[in-house]
Amino acid sequence: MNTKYQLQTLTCPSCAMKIKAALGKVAGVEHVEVLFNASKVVITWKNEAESVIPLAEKSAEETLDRIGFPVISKSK
Amino acid sequence: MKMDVKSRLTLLTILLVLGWISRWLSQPLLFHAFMITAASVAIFPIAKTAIGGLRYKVIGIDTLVSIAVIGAMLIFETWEAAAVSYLYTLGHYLENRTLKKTRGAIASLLENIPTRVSIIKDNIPVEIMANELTVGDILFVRSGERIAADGMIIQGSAMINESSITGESVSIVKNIGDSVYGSTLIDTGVLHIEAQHIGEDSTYGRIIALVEEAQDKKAKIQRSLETFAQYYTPGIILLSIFVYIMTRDIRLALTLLVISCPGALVISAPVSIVAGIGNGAKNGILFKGGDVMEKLSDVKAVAFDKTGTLTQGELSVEQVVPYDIDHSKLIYYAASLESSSEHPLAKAVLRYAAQLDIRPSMAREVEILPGFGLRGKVDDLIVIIGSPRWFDEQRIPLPDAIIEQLESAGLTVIIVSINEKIHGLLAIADQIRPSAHYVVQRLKRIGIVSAMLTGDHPRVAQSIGRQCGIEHIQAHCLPQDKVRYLDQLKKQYGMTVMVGDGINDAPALANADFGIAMGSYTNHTAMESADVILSSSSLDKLPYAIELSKATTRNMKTNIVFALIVAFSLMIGVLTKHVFLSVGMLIHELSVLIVILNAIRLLTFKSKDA
Repeated sequence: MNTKYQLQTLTCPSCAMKIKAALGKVAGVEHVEVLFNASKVVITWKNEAESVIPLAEKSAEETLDRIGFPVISKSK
Repeated sequence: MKMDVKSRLTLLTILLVLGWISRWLSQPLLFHAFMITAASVAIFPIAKTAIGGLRYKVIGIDTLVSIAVIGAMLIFETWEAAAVSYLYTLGHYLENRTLKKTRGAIASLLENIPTRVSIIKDNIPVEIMANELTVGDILFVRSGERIAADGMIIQGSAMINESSITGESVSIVKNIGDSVYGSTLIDTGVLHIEAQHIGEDSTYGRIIALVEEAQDKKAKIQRSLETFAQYYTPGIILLSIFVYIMTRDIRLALTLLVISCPGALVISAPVSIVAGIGNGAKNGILFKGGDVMEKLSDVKAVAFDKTGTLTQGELSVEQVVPYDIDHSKLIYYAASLESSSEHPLAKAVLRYAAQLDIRPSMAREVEILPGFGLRGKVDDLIVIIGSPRWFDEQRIPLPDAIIEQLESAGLTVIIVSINEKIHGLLAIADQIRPSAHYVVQRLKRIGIVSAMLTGDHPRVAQSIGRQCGIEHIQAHCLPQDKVRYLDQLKKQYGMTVMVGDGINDAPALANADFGIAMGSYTNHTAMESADVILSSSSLDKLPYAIELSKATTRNMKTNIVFALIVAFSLMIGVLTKHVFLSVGMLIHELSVLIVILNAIRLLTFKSKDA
């Protein structure tokens, strides 16, 4: 299961590291990929997190907002 | 305190100007007050995200800048605090705007998809949002509008410009029953189209998805840079702490924090790649990533497939040599037998007969001969059509001299026998693409060797090769031979790419470890397996693709070298105390901007020759 977030234009690739580190600490996250040029982040969820994905997504969105990358849109 | 970046910058500029006026009026207190206000206004949003990051134990450039600015305020370097935070804010604002430009070419691909569409509901057109469209809807599209989905024309006819898909800018006529593609433009006419593939399922949707994915596929060189940056930042932070403990020089320690994020370096490769890929996409060339650009820029040999790549893949009868029979009688027998075959050679014979107004009859008892050939009864006469090889195997004597002469001219020869007697030869030609010779020459000029792979007879291959100016020719190739020959070229010359049309050479192209498919935006298999895809089936885009990849790679390398020099000089400057907080920030932000502006040049890159 993946969730893809469109963020505001990413300007510094060092923010990629920041996003990766912060989202990596959200419960249920298996893998985080930051697409710098597309300004997108793709979260792969752990299999066992399937049932709580809406909740996990919410905390991922909060995390992104807190570290300064508000979510513009979400897709699967 | 919510404020957009623009008004924040305006406010900061005013504060800084007021500060300097106060200083000029010898009001030091006022000067410091303005500077502290400016620094506080600027640092607030930076510190906010820095704290957000700290909650996840993440240290970003925002954390370091916040420490530097707050530190500078504490040691009462108010101007430095204001300047560093101002430059950081301004730098980010400008980077944001220029970065958008590097990505603009890719973003503009989306403009070929209409956002609003008209569909026919209860016999009248209704306007809806494009994302509300469903399969089976009837699109209503008029002149000047772009089609929103792949589908079939169910009413009307129109001149359609399909350049977004086929790369051919000449409009073509389409009628009821014809397929149309999303993103193509109706020049004149009104159409009712049944939507069959929409959104990411459509051909154009797939192209966009591919480019989107490609822009973040990293070049090899980029990975090593990222590893470097990963150690560089914590390294400098440690150095800063070490310097402070050893020298108690807080100014030096804070300055080190400001320069610890090698922004220009990390951004150097991705900006060049996104601009290069964007330029390609706008010109009908899809690169599947930065790594592909890197590989193509290094290409030393190009292996062309023959049929459909160097040639147009449309066979035609070029010459007829009848023996003891009337010319049109010979064609009549040949066409009658071939009318039951689907082979491209058979189609060429039938087209030729139609041009001469010869109506073939139905052949009976038609059987396929092993190798190339057909046997059947036409008007109670036994007719055989076959390749010279087949007749050779049957030990039937052939006019060898003439066959050799025709084959040496690049023609494929087929033989017609009637009642066991040879009655004629048909020489069939595949038109060489007009640009083939020119493209091969152009590649040669930039030091790239051309080779040709074909399943055809060596004499035919030699002739076509000669006409295109290709020296290395491998004839009688099966698909697996092609891959072996590619490896051989690679050993001999270095990076080798196979170029094909994705139809006649699909297996070889899929197995080649580096392949370019041309004219293939509509060919899903070729889109999947090739590394570079050219929209049009003309060869002209090939040299451009190579030149663009070279320019992009060069641009990327320039950026990297520049960024390394800046990072190194900054470090020396700071350690020798020539660079202090604000100057460090200024150089840092400027270097990032220069790297971006350099990449933007790629968007206007044009071929020197074309």
